[in-house]
Amino acid sequence: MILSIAFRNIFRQKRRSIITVLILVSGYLVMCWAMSMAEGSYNHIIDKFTQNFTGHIQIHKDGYLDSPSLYKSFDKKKFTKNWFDKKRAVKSYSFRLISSALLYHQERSVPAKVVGVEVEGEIKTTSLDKRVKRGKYWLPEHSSMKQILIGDGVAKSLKADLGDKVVLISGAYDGSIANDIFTVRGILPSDDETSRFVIYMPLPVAQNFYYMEDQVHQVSVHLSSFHQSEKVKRDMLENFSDKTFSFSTWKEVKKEFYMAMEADKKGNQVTFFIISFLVMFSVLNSLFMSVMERTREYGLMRALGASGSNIVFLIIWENLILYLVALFFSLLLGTLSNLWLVYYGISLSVPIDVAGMNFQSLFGEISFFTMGVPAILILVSVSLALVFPILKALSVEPQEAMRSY
Amino acid sequence: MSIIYKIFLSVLSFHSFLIDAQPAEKTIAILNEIDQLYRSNSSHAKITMKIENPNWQRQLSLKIWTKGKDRTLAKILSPKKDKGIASLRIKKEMWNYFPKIKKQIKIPPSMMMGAWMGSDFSNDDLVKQTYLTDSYDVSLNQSKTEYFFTLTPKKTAVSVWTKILIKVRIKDKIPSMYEYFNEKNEVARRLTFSQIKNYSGRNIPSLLVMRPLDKKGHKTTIQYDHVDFDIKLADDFFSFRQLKKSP
Repeated sequence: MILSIAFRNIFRQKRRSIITVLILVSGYLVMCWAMSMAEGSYNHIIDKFTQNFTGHIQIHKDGYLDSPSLYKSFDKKKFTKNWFDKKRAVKSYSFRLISSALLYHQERSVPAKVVGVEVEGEIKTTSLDKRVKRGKYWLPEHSSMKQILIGDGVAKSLKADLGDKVVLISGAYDGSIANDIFTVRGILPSDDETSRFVIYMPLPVAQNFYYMEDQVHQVSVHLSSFHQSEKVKRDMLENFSDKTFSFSTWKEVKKEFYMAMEADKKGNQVTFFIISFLVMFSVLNSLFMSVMERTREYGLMRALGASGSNIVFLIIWENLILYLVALFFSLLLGTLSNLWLVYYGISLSVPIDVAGMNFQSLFGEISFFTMGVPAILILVSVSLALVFPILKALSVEPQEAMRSY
Repeated sequence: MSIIYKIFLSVLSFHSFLIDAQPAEKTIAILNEIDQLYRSNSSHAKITMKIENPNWQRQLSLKIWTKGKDRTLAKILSPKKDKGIASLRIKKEMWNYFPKIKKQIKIPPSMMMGAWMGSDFSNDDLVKQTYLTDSYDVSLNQSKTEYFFTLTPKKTAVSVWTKILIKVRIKDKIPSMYEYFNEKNEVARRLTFSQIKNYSGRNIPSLLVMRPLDKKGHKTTIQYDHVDFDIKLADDFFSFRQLKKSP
């Protein structure tokens, strides 16, 4: 009976019901978009960062990360395909040799980081091929060609262009002087600070240049999602008997980046709190007013014999129904708009710089945090909005209530 | 005057004899003489350089020609992998030649402090050692048997060392030790001289050991196998053509 009265009340005052639902839906969407864009953009930044170079987990000889050295290397046969295949979260992995060299072109010279990469493995792990701005990434059959990809900073310092010959000089693994001539095959963009003074060459070519045979310095592992990093790292630690190796997640590899992101997230939490507070307050205020303006109606119902609890349940049912209707539209609109944000994002007129990388768009995310938390907060607002009217309804005097407007 | 005071004065006067600074001209003359020890007017030396560090050891055999203070040519004879790699210095400029790629490369100023051929000697050592008095202010103290040169960089000079201390035997003006101090006033590396031998009528220490004290287990030893002094060398011997010529 109370439920049917509640429905009747909702349809009796269509305009009021629609406005209430609109307030709830718009409140939900504001919170949902704010959370979605913040979380989505963070995840996009982390994804791009890990995809550009670090990967999600890196494996080194112990102490390499604190103090990198040409001699902290290991035989790549230590890690077999079979060992990685057993870990379901591992999407791909790539071995790397990392060192430095002096590059010469005509009368110019510049020091640069040298990274030897597996031509096919690196594509799957960090999409290096997609970052080549000019020129081309190697084909699988180019693994033994002395062709290099150079960062834009190196290209500018040396005034070197595609097809130019560049001399590399460095200390080799056996103490001799490594020296050779390489052809510039591709140039990497300057919007990525980590790539400006880096050159890439195929792993066998780098091993030959540094006289390192099968030695490498790093395995970069790409997972299905960066959220799995910690779990997979623990699993790898447990399943690898040689304790002279260290397994590090992207958070440990790029501590400064991770800490900057965390600090930024903390700042965002304050913004979320303010947005949520404003939204909740506006929902609470609107609902409170819509319930309180019906004090006369509640007084009349009490005069006609309705009990306090009947009125309380009536208020709860009415608002619960409105909330559920609003939730339906909120989830529908929230999902559709978030899908658009996830796939297309919002283009920025001025790109933002995070950890040396430029981001042109803000992206959204669909998760419990971005879709579920706003729904809970709106429900909390609705519940809070009803507390005072319920107390009022319980104590209302019909005579007094009927006098009010 | 008490006896204690007299003793104090006599000790003080003896000490002041020890640390009495020498006139500038004499100081510079002695130091230039030491600078010329391994070079004379011209020289041709065959040396063995042994480089040791925790990761590898290698032994290089080299030929070095010098003329005056401005010209040096060094060529690696062995091991086979490095044979023909050569360095040419003319005044303050320096080039390396790599026969494998048939390229001569000028060493940029930013790399002058870089290791020479993987040793504990820097490119800068090869260039600037002969210009110590140009780049450093020198003060000289002496004991009965040794001179103690203290070199501090001139205000106009660029140097990574805040001080260089040189110990030299008075009797034959042969150096026994160079100590290079960093900005913390700690000895960063030490070069010692020993095994004095006579080559072409000149006594020179035939064994030089360079130890970077901040790198554990690192050491570079230079053994002079043979030296000819004051040989005939034309200026154009120190040319790119000679740099590229196989040893």
